[in-house]
Amino acid sequence: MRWTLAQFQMQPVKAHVDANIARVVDGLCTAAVRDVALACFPEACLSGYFLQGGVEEVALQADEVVQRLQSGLVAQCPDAMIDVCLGFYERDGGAIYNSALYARLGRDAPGRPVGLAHLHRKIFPPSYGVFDEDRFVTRGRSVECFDTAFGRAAILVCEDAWHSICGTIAALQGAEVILIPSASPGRDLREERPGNVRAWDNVCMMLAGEHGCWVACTDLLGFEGGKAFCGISTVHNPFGQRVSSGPMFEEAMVLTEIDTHDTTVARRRTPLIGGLQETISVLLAQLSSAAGGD
Amino acid sequence: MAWDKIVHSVGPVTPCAEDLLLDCRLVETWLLQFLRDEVTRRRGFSRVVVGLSGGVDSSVTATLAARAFAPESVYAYRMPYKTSSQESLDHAALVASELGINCVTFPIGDAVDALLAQDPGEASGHRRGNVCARMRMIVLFDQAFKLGALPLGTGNKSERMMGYYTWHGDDAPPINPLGDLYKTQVWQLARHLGVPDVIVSKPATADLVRGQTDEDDLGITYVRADVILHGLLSGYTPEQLVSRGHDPAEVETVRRRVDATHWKRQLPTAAMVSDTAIGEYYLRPVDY
Repeated sequence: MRWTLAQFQMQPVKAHVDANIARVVDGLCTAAVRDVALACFPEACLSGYFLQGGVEEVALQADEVVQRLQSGLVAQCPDAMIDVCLGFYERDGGAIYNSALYARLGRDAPGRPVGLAHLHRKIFPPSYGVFDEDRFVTRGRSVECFDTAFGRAAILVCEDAWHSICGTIAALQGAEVILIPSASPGRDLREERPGNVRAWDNVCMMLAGEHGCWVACTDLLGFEGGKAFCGISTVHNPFGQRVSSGPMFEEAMVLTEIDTHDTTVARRRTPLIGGLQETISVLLAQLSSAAGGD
Repeated sequence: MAWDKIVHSVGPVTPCAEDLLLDCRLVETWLLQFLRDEVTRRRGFSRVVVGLSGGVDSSVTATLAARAFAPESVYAYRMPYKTSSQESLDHAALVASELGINCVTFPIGDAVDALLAQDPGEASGHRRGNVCARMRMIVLFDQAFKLGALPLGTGNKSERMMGYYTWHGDDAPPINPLGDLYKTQVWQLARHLGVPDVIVSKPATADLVRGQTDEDDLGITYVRADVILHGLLSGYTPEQLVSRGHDPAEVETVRRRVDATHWKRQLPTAAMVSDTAIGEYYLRPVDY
């Protein structure tokens, strides 16, 4: 199935959720008129990433985000039908999570119920070096695939993708598309592409190539307290090739034509995921043992 | 049959000067975006003020500012004291002229001497230098207030790590594009930006005593200090750096300076008496 992905390299207004929701709605309208099937936005795009204790003041419930996006979209573009994947600080009960949601927005249609379709809570909030997430958010506990109109998908938030086991779980559940909202502080300026961008390229290339799936990484934009999110969002195809790369330091909607059928071709050519499915039960015992289990 | 082909691998990683080489085009883009984002987008200012000493750090900062903003929005201040050299003033004027930025001369001699005259004791060079640095800070912040501008800092990472600056003096401006660049990296960037060679090539000096240089004061050249700093900050112990070929006395010089100046890189210490202490429990980022 062929469809169009839009990645929005977005520079949020720090801690101004209303302004950022309005900006997302503008993006959804821009994408919808170009027949975009899915619009992806970065991690923490409704607030900015580095908030410390401020997460408590900007966190929203997932249903509230979806309702506000839906009402804004319907008001501006009544005929729009578009899916969205978006990172935000989520409030649920007494806990705050660094989450990403997937929702179907716009007009209702048969077989396409409007509303929240999936919620992923970041499993690996980093707390080293420039990061201090673990102090302010609760860890998610699971990777779950879900169905979309164009295939099986999974969401990994930023560092989740660096732990290969997350991508493996998604692939074993049948993911054909892995969506990664990210916020990667730029560093290492020794080469033409920043070191963090080169490292992300390797992560996505391996993730896509090993599991034969599409990988779309959408990065935040702008300086926050001297730390730069430089954009350069990417899409890697199921053969591990980078097919799209957004601009540096520019807000942009990056469009990529995707054919989900490529996953079938890639997995036939290099059936690593099939081999893993055959062997995983044996390896699971070793994994459990290595992790200190019985 | 013997193995004729023998390939030697690189071996253990050793911190070296090549690690500090920059893609200066990328760094320029990075720092221009930094200035526009942090000065204008986050803080709402369109004008900046810079203390222009005629040295390489302030010349690079002024050049970046002139490219990030309109040159007429950049105000450079030459703030000579009686020990300042004419050469420094000339170099500052040269940079300002080439960039087309505003250049104001604001002597601090009377203010510094008046302050010191209130205390009959003899002022050491060190003390006088601190007063000069803090007087320049006052001038920059006052002029920034008058102009509706933001002061830019010019301190580099080598100075900051070795504590070679005056606390709440030259480190005071809220925005500093060079603070994560070692001195040798500032030199690379200066050449890329086209800062006049006469400024890039001359010995770095705080210009407090005639003939004084930074490297004399520090007891080590920036070229050698920067590699050692890079190694220490990357997680190597002094012993590991020595075992990898660095001079033990130089490693010790740098280590001692870093360890003695952690306090200078921090905000003032406040006694904590509650569970809502600012910066301990109550945590909000600078741009929140």
